[in-house]
Amino acid sequence: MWIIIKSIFQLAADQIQNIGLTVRLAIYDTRANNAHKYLGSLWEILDPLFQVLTYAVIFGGGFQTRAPQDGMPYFTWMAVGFAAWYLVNQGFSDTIRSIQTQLYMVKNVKFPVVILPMIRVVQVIPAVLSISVVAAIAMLVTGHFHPSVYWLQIVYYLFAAFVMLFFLGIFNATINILIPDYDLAIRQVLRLLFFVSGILSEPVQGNGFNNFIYYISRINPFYYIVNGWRGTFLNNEWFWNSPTVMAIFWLEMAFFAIIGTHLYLKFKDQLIDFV
Amino acid sequence: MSEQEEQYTVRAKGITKNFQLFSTQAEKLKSIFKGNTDAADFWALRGINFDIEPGDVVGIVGTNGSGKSTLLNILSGVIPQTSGTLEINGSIGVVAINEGLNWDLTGRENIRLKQLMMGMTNKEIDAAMPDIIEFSELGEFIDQPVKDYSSGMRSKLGFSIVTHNDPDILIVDEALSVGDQNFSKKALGKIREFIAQGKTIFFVSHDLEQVREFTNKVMWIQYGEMRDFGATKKVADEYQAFTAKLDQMSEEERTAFVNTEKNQQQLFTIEQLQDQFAIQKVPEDEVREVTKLRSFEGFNSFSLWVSLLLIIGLMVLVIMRGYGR
Repeated sequence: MWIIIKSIFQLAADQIQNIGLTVRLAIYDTRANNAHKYLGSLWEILDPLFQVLTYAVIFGGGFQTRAPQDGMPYFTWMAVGFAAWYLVNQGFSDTIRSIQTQLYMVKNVKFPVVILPMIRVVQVIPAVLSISVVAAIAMLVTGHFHPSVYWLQIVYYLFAAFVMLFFLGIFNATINILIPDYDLAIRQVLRLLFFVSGILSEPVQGNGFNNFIYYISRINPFYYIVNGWRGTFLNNEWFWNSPTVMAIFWLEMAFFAIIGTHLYLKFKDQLIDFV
Repeated sequence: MSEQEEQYTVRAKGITKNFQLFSTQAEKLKSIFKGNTDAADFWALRGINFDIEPGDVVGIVGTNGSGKSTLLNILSGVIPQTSGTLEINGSIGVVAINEGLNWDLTGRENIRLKQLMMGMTNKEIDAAMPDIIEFSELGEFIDQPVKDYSSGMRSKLGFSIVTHNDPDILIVDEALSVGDQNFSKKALGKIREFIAQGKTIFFVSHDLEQVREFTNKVMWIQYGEMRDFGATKKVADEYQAFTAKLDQMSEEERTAFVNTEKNQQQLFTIEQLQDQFAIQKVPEDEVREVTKLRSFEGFNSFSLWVSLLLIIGLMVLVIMRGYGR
C-alpha cells in the first residue's frame, strides 16, 4: 500500500521537476506545428473562439437555452464554463495519443517519458486563456464582472484540473499504446459527454431521463471542474460547500492515479516495443 | 582486490534483458490486467559483463538480432536492464542513422528540439546553433524538412547535434557508413579528437574493415551472449571466421543452427546466470546483487486490488450519504 502512494507521488515529483522542460517543449511543438501556416500559432486561439461562437449561436440562439440563474445572459454563463471545459476536455483528449506520437523523440535520448502527456496539456493553455478573455469581456459587457474573494479559489480548481489531467493523461497515453482502439472509443464517449455534462445547459432533476443525466453529471469529473469554474466567477460558491461531489472527484482521481501509475510503471520500459 | 585504483567509464555486470513475446493481441491484453502471464520469455541479453576504460574505442559486432541495439539502448539509458548492474561515469551521446529526428521538421528545428530535450534553454541553443549548422555542412538545406534529406545528410545532422553536446561517452550506431567520403573523414576526425581527449567511444558497424581501422577493442555479441571481448585483431578475426562458417552452411543447417540458439534465448533463466557466477567464484552477496531483477512489474496485485476496492467502497459510501434517501 505504501509503495503505491510513494510511486504516485514520485511520478508527480518527476513531472514537477521537469516542468521547465515540459513548457519549453510545448511552446516549441506548438510553434513547429504552425510554422507553415500563414496565420501561424494564431490558429491555436482562433479555433476555440470559433467553437464558442458556434455553440453560442446554436444553443443560445437556435435552441433558446437559458442560464440557470435569472438575469444571467446565456453567452456569459456558457463562455465561463466553456473555458474550463476546453482545458479539461481538449487537454484530456490530446493526452491520449501523446506518448504514441512523441515516442520517436525518446528513441536515443534518456528522457522523462512521464512528461509527454503534460506537454499536450500545456499546449492547450493559450486557447483556454483566449476563451477566458472572451468570457471576461462577456461578463464585463453584461455587468456580471464582480471580482471578489471567491475568485481566489480558481487556484484550487486549477490544481484539481491539472492533477486530473496529469493522472488521467498517463492512464490514457499508456492504455492507448497497449490498446490502439482506445483513442477512437474514448472520443465517442467524449462527444456524447459534451452534450450531457452541463457545459451548454445545466442538468436539472425532472423526469427519468433528466434524472439520469443529473446523476451522471454529479460523478463526472469534467463537470466538477466546469461547475467549479462557474461557482468561482459567477455564482460565488465556495468549493467546500459541496463536500459530496468533491469527495467523489478526489476518490475518482485516486482511482485513476493508482491504475495509471501501475500501468505506466509496468509498461514504460516496453512502450517502444509496443508501438 | 587490485592495489592500484582502477578507473572505469562503463562497468557492466551480468546485464540481462528480457522481452515478453505475445503471439496474439488477446494475450497482450491479458497481461495488462493479470500481470506476468505464461507468455514466452525472450532473453535479448543473457548476462553481459565488461569493463571499459577511458580512451577505449570499442567496436561492437554481431549478426543481426544478436542484441547489439538492446545493449546500446541500455547503455544510453533508453530502456533499463532486467537484471545486472551498470555503472557509467559521464554523459552519453548517441549517433544513429535518422533515428530520433522528426522528419516533418526542418534541420534547424530538429537541432532545437534535440537540444531542448537535453535540457538546454533557448538562449544556450541560439548560441550553439551556428556551430552545429556549420559542422553539419547542410548549408541551405538546414531550413528544409528532414524528409527531403538524403540518408547521408540525416546522419550528418545527427552527428553534428550529438557531438556538439560534448558527451563523455559517444555511441556511434551504424551512422558513419552512409555519409559521403568527405563527411566520413570529417566525422572520423572528430571522433579521433574525442579519442585524444580520452573519451570512450562505442562503435557499432557491420563494416568490419571500419571496425578494425578505428577500434582498439572489439566486443562480439551473439544471441545475447558475449562471445568475446578483447583486442581488435583477435576478436575481429574470430568474428570473421564465424560469419564465414555461417555463410558456408547450407540453408537448412543455418536455420537449424539459428533456431537452436534462439531457443536457448527463450529457455534462459536468471538461475543459469547465478550458476555461472558461482563457478567463477564470485562472492555470494555480489551475485545476489547482480542478479536481482531490476524492472518494476507494477504493484503487487493484492495491494492493488485492495486499494482500488477501498476507493470504490468509499465512493459508494459517499454517494449513499450524499444522495441516498
